[in-house]
Amino acid sequence: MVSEAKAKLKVEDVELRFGGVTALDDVSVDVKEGEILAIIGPNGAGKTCIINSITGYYRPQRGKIYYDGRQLIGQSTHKIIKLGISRTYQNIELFTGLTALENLMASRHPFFKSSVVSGAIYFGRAHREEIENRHIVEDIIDFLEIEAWRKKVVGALPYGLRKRVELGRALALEPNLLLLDEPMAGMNLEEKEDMARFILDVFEGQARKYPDTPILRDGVKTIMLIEHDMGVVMDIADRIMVLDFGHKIAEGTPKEIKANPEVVRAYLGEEA
Amino acid sequence: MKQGKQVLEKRDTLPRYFLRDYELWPEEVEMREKEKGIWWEYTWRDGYEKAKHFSLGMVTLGLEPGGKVGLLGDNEPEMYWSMFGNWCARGVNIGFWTDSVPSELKYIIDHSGLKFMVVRDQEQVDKMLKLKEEVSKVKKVIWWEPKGMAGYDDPWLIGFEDVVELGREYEKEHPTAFNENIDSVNPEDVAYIFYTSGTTGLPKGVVHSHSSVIQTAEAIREVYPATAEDNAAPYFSVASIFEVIFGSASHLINGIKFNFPESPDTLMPDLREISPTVMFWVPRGWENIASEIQVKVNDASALKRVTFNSFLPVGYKISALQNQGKKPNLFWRALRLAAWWTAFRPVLDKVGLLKTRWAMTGGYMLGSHSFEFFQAIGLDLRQAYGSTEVPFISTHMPGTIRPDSIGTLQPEVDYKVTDDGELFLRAPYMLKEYYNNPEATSKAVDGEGWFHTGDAGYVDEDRNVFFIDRVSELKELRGGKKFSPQYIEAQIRFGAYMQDCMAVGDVTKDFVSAVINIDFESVGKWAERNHIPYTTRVDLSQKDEVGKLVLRDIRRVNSTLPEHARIRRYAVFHKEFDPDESELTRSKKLRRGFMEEKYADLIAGIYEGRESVPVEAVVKYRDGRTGVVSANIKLRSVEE
Repeated sequence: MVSEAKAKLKVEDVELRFGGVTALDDVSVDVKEGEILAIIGPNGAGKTCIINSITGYYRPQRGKIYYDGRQLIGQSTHKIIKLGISRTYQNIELFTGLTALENLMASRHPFFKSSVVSGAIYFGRAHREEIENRHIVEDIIDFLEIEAWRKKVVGALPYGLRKRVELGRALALEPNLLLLDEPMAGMNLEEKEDMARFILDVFEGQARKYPDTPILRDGVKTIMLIEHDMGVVMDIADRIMVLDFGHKIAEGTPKEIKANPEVVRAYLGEEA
Repeated sequence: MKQGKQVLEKRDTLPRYFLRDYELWPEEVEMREKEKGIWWEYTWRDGYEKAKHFSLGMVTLGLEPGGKVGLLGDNEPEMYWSMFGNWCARGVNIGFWTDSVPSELKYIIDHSGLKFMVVRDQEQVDKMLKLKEEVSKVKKVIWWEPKGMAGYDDPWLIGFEDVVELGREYEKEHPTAFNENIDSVNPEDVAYIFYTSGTTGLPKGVVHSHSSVIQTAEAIREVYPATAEDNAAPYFSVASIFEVIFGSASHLINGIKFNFPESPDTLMPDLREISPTVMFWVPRGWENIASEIQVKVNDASALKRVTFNSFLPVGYKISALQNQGKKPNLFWRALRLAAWWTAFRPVLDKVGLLKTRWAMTGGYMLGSHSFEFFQAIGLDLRQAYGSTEVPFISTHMPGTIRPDSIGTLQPEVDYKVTDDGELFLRAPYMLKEYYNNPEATSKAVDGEGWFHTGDAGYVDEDRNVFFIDRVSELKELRGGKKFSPQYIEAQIRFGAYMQDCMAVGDVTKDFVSAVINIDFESVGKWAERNHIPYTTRVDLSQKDEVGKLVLRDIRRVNSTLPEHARIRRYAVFHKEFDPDESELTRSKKLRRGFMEEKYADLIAGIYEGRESVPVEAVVKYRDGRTGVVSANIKLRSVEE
């Protein structure tokens, strides 16, 4: 393995089986601090399984996953989130009955220190905390340009907007590592370009625009992105890993991946 | 003393007005802007400090007297601080349409020779960077919205706040420079160049001096009173003279307060919070509000819907009486009172128009249906008529509104009608010239100072102006009868499910037909309500049910038209007319010639009596990529 010291997330020889089906077969990959790593592959290649293994939804039978040197396999999901890992879902998991604003405020829950009782009275610290967190959430709303839907119930929003709210929810948790599961699936070209822009802007950090909101000011310096659509990935990822039927078939820069015959075969089938 | 009651001293240039306002009201609110869900206020002192330092910063960067500065972005405080700052540095402003593509920017940048561009955000910066090699005379591009700008280090770019900082430094060494600059501006200096959107041919730069902008705004104030107590939502682009004379100039001369919504998407809900006391919007804005009201009424509970719809005729009746100068009798007045409290007032409140003292529409013609609708529900909506060259020509006067006229000719304006029916005008506020285009100038303004409007129209004995259409746009059918496509289109657009329309007909054709662009959003909802399944917009547009829905609106419009001008056949278009494909101009006017050429097969099919025609349209995305949308468009007839 190259440059071991710098790896923020280290996936080592992970094997994940469901009965007789091997979803991940000896997969290893590093995500370094300061890079966007994309995982691509055809349907059923095992892309989401990697994220689910990192976040504790699945428990791989073999292998190790280290985050900042800490083993993640075997830890529970809520503990993993507290380490500074947050994710979005391919099929969007939000509270559909709450508004966009309420969804984002809800995900600020770990940052509230006041008790249930003082929250109910809404006085002193509880009041102050609510305002502080609202400031951060409003910056995220401004960043994602969802002001018009702030008070709209999420279940009634169109798909592309829900995806944005979901990214907002992941950001509200102030992660150091962001895992994005097909953030552009099902979008039209313009929405895809917007989403790509948001991801790059999060990665860069927006110190001039949001000096008071750490997550936007400093950005998220490590991002793992799963994507079906090759086009966008080639533009925004620093490195790409390609999965096919649970096997890693390639890893490298977008340029290398484009030229890799294995990848072409996996995507386009045998050469005609 | 209250702000609105003060008698304000006159000034002769716009920067001197700016200085006066700051001295009069340093701690009063100049602008409000919604951010993070809260309204933030800027006082005249805040605005003065920003504009002053920006102005001096621009001088530091090399803006010379008479130097031109482009403005490109949504209306936000920084846009106006830049505009005022440039004026104070003896600069000339040029507004751009926000959605202009790089080639359109390049034409105006080259033609005007401007050296600075003030742009809002990353999107506009990217457009400029794309042009960088081709517009080498542009010294700096100034951006004000920092979002997404972290990774840009091209020294060609500079942030608005950095320019302000330069100005602050400059002021330390030249403490009197700002006032000296303002003093040296002459009333006859060029203040603004407006590029006409060019429905025909290339854009022309219409040059206006400080004096002409000020005199226009003063003439407007006689009819549309405005004071520092007034709240406005300046929403239209600064590329248009309409915004500058009703907005920027009125802000400086009368002190009206500016209020900016949080984002373009939140305009309608924010409008309710602003509750503007004066409203100057283009017809499309008013048509949007009218449709929004209709949609809201349709979505309301049965009781509310029935109340509104049964009181609406009362409103129509009363406003018709009032427009004829008659007083309704007690019975109608009582009904009107009931209608106001149960139906009209709540509706006006919902869309933020309850406090509106006057509302005007200008730019081009608003369909008389929308117009009468607003009057019926109790909004004092008036039409004003002007062109980029003669910005304020006529307006409706309270009490004598003839909805079919475009109002009473301004007292300052002389007129004459030529044998061809073209209207000639002469006014104290007129264009100075077309920039760098003496040929066009001499064609438009003759030796006696008459401006040739190119509009077919007439003026009656009460000085009411009647507008038929552009002389060049009236169309003749076979047999010589004339009709106005624009009129038909404006009437169609009023329908709740209609977005746009192109009326077709010329000397080779026996009748008028229409290509209709449905409002996909509201028709989509309608289809959902009526359990009509559809897959794509293309599919939706060609449904027979949708054809029938459109037919209802055509029948409504036909009933207002003379026999020969009625729509006989129509097609529902499969996509929206799009400025990115040059189908509309940036100000959303139809580019008729282009459309008729591009969709020649479709139009031929209509007149050959065919039932459907396959259409393939190349779609251009804003980043330059293209795709193809194909559809089989059904052609339908209107049976009487």
